Amino acid sequence: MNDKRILLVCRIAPYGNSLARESLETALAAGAMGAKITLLFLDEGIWQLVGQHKPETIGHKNHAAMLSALPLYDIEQVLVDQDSVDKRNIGSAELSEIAELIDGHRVKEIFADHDVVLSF
Amino acid sequence: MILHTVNKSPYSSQCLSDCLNRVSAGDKVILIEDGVYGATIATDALPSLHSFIQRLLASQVGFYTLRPDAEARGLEAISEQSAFKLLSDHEFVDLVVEANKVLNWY
Amino acid sequence: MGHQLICDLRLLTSMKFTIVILGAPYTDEAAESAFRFTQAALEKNHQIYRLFFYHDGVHNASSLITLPQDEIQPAQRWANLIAQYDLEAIVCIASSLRRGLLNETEAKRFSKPASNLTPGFKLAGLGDLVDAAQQSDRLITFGPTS
Repeated sequence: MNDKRILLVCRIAPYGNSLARESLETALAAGAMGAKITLLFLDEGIWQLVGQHKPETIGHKNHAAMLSALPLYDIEQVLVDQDSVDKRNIGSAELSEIAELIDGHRVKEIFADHDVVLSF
Repeated sequence: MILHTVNKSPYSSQCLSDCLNRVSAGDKVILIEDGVYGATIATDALPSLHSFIQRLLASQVGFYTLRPDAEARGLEAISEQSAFKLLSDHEFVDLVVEANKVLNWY
Repeated sequence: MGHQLICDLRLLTSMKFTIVILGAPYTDEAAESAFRFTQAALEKNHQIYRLFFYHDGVHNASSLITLPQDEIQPAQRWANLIAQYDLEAIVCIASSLRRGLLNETEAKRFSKPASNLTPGFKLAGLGDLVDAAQQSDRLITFGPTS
């Protein structure tokens, strides 16, 4: 297996579209295969990390429960963009602790540091 | 160099500005599909995006539109007068080859 | 000058591409863009390591799509390209089952009345997307338009 560093960029809010769920399934598959993967929540993707979800009200499975599986699958880094969070008037206390906050400068470094990007 | 693709109109979506906020000097941006409406950006249409693009051009960011998408929408002439250079499908492939990686904003 | 030379040499090299398609045919332009890109890459003598149909992109593989004869037939057009260049076209199995796209094996397994995967496409798991990211020189995603 080659050791390309894969960046999965997730810019989709949960529930409104299945793509958010399908992006996490991709991350979990990569983790299960032992791939070197970084997950970055950007723009609308940050909503995946916000608040206490009660998706049974709309007949959905809990997205946050999937997120909590990430550490079990050896995902190397889970990151969230501070600028996207600030822009949406969200305090860091409201964010899931699963992701590490990084600034805009670091986002560009993350883009540069990886070999291939899966864009969701 | 990272190649960024953008497929949404800047008049309906944050996609282009989300992309431009994250490009680095030397990167390239190509507008495809409804993204090609971005070629109309000017001092009196989305002025803040317009000045942002001017600043990025100065830091060697390349801007392109995909010709078949621009032609399909009747935007060929506007694209030709814009900061966005028209590329064929084959030239788009060349740009992907030239880039180290591709980021897709949609 | 030196930089220009490196770029030019790179353009002469044959690269392995993976194309990820997330948009349904007809509704979205994504699949059309992906098709033209794939064709252009092949015409420039690049290799396609894999086509990966995911999310609503799986609908591109449906043999039941029925359009007027003078319109582009999405699944058939992909199938022709896949056959002509012996391409690997993977349709994500989890996305497919959820959207009613089944091959014969899956239709039998779940006791469904019909199967509709166009010959040439294969159902497989997300591992093939991860593998494609690792093995290809370039990966490009055509996201949904809507």
